[in-house]
Amino acid sequence: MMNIKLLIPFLLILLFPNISFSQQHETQRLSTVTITVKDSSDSSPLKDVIIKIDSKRANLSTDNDGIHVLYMPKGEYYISISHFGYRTFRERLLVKTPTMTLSVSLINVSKELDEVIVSSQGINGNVARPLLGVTPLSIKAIKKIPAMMGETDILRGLQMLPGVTSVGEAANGVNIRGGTTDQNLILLDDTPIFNPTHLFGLFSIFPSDAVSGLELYKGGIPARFGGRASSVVDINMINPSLDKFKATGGISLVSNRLTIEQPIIKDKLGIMVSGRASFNDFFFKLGPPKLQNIKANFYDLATKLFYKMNPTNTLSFSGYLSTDFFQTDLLGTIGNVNATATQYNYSTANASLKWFHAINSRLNLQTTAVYTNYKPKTLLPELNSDNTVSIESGIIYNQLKSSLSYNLGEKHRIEAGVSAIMYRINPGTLNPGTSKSVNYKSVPEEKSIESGLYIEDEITVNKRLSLSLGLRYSYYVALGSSVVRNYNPAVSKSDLSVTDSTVYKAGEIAASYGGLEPRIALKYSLTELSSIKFGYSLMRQYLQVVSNTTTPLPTSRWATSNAYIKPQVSQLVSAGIFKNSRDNIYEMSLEGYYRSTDNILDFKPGADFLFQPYIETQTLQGKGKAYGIELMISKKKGAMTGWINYTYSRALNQIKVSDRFDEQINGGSWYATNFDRPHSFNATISMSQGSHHEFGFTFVYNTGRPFTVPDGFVEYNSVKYPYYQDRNNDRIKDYHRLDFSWTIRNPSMQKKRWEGSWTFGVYNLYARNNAYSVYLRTQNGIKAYQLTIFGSPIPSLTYNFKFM
Amino acid sequence: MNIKSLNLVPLLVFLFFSCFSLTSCIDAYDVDFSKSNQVLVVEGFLTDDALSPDTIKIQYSNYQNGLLITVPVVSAKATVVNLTSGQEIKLIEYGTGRFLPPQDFKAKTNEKYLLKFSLPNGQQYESSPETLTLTPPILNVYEKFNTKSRVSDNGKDALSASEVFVDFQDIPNQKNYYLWRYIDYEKLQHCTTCQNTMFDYAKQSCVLKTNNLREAYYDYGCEGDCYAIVKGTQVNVLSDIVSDGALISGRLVAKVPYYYLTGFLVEVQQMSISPETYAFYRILESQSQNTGGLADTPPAAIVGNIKNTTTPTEKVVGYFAVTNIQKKRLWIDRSDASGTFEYILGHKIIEEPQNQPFRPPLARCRQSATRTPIKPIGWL
Repeated sequence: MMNIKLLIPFLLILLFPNISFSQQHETQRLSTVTITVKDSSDSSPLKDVIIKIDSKRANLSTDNDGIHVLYMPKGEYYISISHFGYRTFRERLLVKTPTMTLSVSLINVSKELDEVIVSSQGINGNVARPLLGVTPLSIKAIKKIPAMMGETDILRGLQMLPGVTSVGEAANGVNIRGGTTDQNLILLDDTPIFNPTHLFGLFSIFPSDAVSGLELYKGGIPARFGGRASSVVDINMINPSLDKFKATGGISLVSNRLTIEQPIIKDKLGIMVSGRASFNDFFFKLGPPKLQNIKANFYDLATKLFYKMNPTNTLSFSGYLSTDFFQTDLLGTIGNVNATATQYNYSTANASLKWFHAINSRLNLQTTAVYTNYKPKTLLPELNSDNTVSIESGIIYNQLKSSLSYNLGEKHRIEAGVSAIMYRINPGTLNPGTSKSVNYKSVPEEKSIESGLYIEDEITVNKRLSLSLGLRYSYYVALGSSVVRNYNPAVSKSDLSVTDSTVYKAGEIAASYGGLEPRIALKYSLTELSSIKFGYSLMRQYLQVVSNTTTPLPTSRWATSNAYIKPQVSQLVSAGIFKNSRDNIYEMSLEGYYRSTDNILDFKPGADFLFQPYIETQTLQGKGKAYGIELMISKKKGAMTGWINYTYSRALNQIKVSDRFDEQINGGSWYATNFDRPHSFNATISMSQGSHHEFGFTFVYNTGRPFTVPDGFVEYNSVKYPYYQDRNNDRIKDYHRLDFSWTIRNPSMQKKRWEGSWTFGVYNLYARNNAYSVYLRTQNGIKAYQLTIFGSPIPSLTYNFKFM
Repeated sequence: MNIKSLNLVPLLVFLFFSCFSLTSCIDAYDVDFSKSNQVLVVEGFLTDDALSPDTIKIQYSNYQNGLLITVPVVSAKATVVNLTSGQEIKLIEYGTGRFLPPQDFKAKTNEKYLLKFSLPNGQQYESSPETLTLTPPILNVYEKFNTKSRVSDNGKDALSASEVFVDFQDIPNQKNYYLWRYIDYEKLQHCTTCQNTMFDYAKQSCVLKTNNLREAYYDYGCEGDCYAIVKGTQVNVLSDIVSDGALISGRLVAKVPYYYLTGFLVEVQQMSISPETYAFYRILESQSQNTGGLADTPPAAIVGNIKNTTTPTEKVVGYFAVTNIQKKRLWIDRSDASGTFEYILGHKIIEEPQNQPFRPPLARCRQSATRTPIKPIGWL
């Protein structure tokens, strides 16, 4: 700090060459201007900002407290304060009094920056920071990707990144670096999302206008995150504007959207509300008669309240609600219920409250309370009755976490925290209503607590070497009341092999697991524009989806670890080389990884999870391994921006619990997972033609997903059946697709507060017949068929508006 | 619940998309079926019905070059072991690979049985033990004609059928699993079909060759009464997990196509099965429903409870189950039937023209697993 003050006179000479400091009386005529620069969202001081007086770079740096003192003659100036990632502050400055103070809050806009389309770590950040496999993705970048049916989709955007795939077009989630969908921790303002899609995988649930951006952690996962084995997708909602009313919205073929930001107390309290609702049963009514019974609706509502109590305290509340309703002709029934249709209704209600407290300029405390309630239902309306039989399940998730962040000068940035999560899972309740065909039935609630304790330090050893060292300790307890069965080890676990059982009362610990989770990342700069990085992380997962389908359904069973279901433990080693072009226009990265996971969960042949309290009788645990290399080149600036990437990866499992046939998969040898797609190539290009027209193209290529073909056929009871032996022994055809979009911004060409834009898009431009599924029919000989979805170009038209 | 059925949802959504977008929804797909397999298949139901016991079949399913051939095992030796009494019951081979228990044998309630057999190649096989449990009786059996009962093979047309339902009282406070089968007896009008030949009455076979056949085949009427024995092939199982102790009413157990204007006799069989048998039938059921979609359960091997004790790695398809069988017969006069007929012989009936004396001749009804000249009990 002293050094900076000593520098000031020299700098002022540069700025104001007509001033002579040697003359005492001249100095007395100078005014002292104290400028404090802070982050608008959390009031944390900003250092190293760039201050310009009358367009001349002052070349001054604020100190660590964000306070800076200038001496300048009285007069009128034009001051600008800028900092990377923040909106530049510009104002006319009238210096009249001998001392004056100026307090400036800069608005964090790093995720809005146009030129930062996608990069591994902001401008030059990909080479400079010891973070590996971290991809911030701005909502602007996602919005530039041509959208299917005009609905901006975060999950589809993610799939354009290397290492992110899915099992297919209707997948209920994404697979990141060989992980299952439930191995991704998807957080929306700290609240976990258990079902990330609307309408069985058609659209993702994140309201694009309410999201500011996201960070995908697929490599070095910071110690503050825990509980999932593969990755973290951290999605942030926008902070409401505290100074003026804003509105954005749009209409697509599928839904209506509206987002408003309203300051309640200027510069102190503001609210953002964002809603999206599908058109009633949108296009099914236009379809053929057999589809007219289909009803499909969804809505989501997001809100954020931001309260700046005082310079050192802020409070923010985020809320999210989402509901899906889907009805179709009867697809099956339960017991002997005579139902007229099958309906699905699933909803998510999330809330988080975050308190930020700056203890001093170096130390701050952040405390968050999280509540999530996910509730899927299957409904069966009974024939000739008003009664509806329902099958309900649910997850109630409560979390309290707190972290202390300490900035120890240039060399260390330390963060430590604690977290406790309570899971309450309702595995299944059958409500017969007035039906006499079925009884009320409920599988006992699963209750458990996952706690975590962590510390991490980002250490800058020298200009070339920096390290991020993190250590997390997680401890998990499964609580009663519950019954833990003991099984005869000589035979497979089933209802018949139970020898005895232990009863645990409410609150008693039925099983416990835990352990250390080291997270290490290291960066070594080769030159100013290139670096190599290495990372290692260990993750433990206690909550998982147990599903016997290729992609989990919204109604799939979630289960926490118990005496038999051991937590999944994943270890990831990754290394990469990063290089930027001199002007940071191009960014190149090459990363490789190897992951091994213990206790991955798969289902036994013929498993059934419905109303099954003892899922250990239906599941098998084994090992997983995944490895790959990812090459990515992006162009971040200019009229043409975008990226291309190629990934070679494999994801394999091995399950052999015993020598018994039903306790192993594929004879206990390694087999390809459903999402093992070795070659993947993505390209997305956005071209601006002036400020009014923008064209977007994406191209996707993936190796076809594995599927199972029979090894032959057998006849049993005079019926021919396919005879399957090994799972995933073949692949469907390779997948490729080209999409296009054309956005016309502000067609009226006039500068107004209201700005409208039209986007015309075509999904699957060259009408590739990508196989959604392949199946067999045995009537009249044995034949295989493929079902195509989106077999032709799907056009869409969207209108978006902004009122700023 | 039939969870498999939930899987169709995304499929439907997408069928819509593809159809709506005017492309073909479904195309032929080239899968490599050049594989070949030889799998031992065992059909082994041991019921307590001594009068008409189930045939236990031991045969190979040979699949090669897209062709499936069933080859019964020659000179196999099979026994049923009563583990409760220690008694071994030798099964009687009445046709190649076809076995029946001795006439004086009757399986007893709450006793444990297993099936053992050996092949001439020295391989020994054994099933896991199964216990005979009581099946609740069928309280009512009734029929309702449904004009939209089934969908044709091409998926386009609705087919009508006589739907048969049962009511029964589930046994409370215990887990029960049920399997239903049915036998449809129809009075046949035609007993033989001759392909590219004509029927010789004296030889009772299609041996007459002639150069002026107008049709590829001719059907010949039955001499005397002849009844077709048509067994239902659809897997029909239920678990009482959600309906323990309830009166189960209106369980659909048979869909008999509209073959003739005249009535038919249906025998409904209700059996209590073990949880393992139930699981096996659920896998079997899923094989025929699988559409390969993302929400489908990936297919599993239909390996049951029979193990090769000599070579444990061999996978044997099929199941040995011991059941108490409850039967009820119902005469259905088809007075409520309407719609289009289906061909009981699988093809349109074409009779030989009556342009020669004594032609066309009639064909005799031959007793077999699918035909009988004996009027079934309950036929009106």
